[in-house]
Amino acid sequence: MSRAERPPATAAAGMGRFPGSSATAPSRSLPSHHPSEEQLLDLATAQLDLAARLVLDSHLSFCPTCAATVNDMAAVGGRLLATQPADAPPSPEVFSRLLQQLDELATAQQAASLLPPLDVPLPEAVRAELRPDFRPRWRPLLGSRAEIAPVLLDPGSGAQLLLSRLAPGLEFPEHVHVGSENLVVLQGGYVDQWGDFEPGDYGFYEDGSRHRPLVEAGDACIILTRLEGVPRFAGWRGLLQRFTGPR
Amino acid sequence: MNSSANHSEDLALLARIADGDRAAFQQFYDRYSGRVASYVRLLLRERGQSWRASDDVVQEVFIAVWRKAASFKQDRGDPAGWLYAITRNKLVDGWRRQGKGIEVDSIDLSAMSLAVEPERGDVKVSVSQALARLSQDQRLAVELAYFGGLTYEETAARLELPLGTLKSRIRTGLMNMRATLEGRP
Repeated sequence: MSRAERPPATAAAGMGRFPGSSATAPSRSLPSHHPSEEQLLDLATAQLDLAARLVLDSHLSFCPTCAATVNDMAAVGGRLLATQPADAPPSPEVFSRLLQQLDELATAQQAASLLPPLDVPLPEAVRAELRPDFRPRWRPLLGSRAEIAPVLLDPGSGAQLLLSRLAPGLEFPEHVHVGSENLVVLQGGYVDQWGDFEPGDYGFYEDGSRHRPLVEAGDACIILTRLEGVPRFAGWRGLLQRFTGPR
Repeated sequence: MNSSANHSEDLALLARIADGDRAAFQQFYDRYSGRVASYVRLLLRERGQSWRASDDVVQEVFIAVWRKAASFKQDRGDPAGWLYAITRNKLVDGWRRQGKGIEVDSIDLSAMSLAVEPERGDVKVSVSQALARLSQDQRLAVELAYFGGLTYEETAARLELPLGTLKSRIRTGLMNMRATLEGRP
């Protein structure tokens, strides 16, 4: 199985964060798992759907190296934009409508401030795409200590963006990815055969790949994920899934 | 890449927009809305769409500027590049929603051109000049899929290239253009 990722950028692999282990390693300040340059080019040149962009933008909020790469790729386009003719502006009504939208947004944000605060560390880039009153609606996943919450369904590609919240120490059931999966860890961490994934780390799982993530001890692991299809679980869960349908 | 004075002013405006400053938002809008509209009309025309739809796209772009200003990284971002990415994403999202493909065989490669006005100030090399210095392979790839209104898949189909080869040409072309625009050999 191939993975599109760079070599780890920092030290401190996953020591001592699992049940039964006593050692403790310092947590990293920078991610170790990154998108490929091709994926960063896709982001910089508007080739990705909204769900994929939000996962990658979330990684960029943790990773100055990848952010600089995207910046470089988009800079030429910025230069082109800055030198476009400016002698035929949009109609005056556009700015009036914008001001009206800003008023509506301010009202919505004020109403949302009365709600309980978000219970997940969503990056600003994601919050900017959602309604101000968005709050994850958690639902259990196949009876395990895991919950998922839909965030959005991409209207163009049909891909789902969702949040997962996994209990510390959980051995997540083995599953096969149907379609690809892109993710970024927002809190806590997990380990699989590809390494130790901590906040900011980006993961890309190809169609047909399988893994059984082990959630690290400590904080709940919260992940932002783009899915093209519903993963298929192995064993009795897979049988149950076939009879009841994926959730 | 942009002149340093414009760059500094843009950074300052985005910082104020992130704080909810509507006057700064209007200044940024006045600075860029015409240019965004020009670029959007160019791409809509390439896809055979009416340029009248450009107002709606401009509105979507600038509401995104307002909402996303707080996530713009002041210490490493390029405001014009950031705005360019937002503009292209809004266009491509719209085409995906509408299912608007393009007949790739109908694309007239010889008619592809960029409406770029002469640059002033401390600019030594224009975008058009930097583009002209690329190899033909790189130039076509960049014109169609980076500057133009085609997706990578449409560009690859038109140029009869594997997708990976196309992306490699675009990546190398952009690196070369950036070096040229920055006055590096």
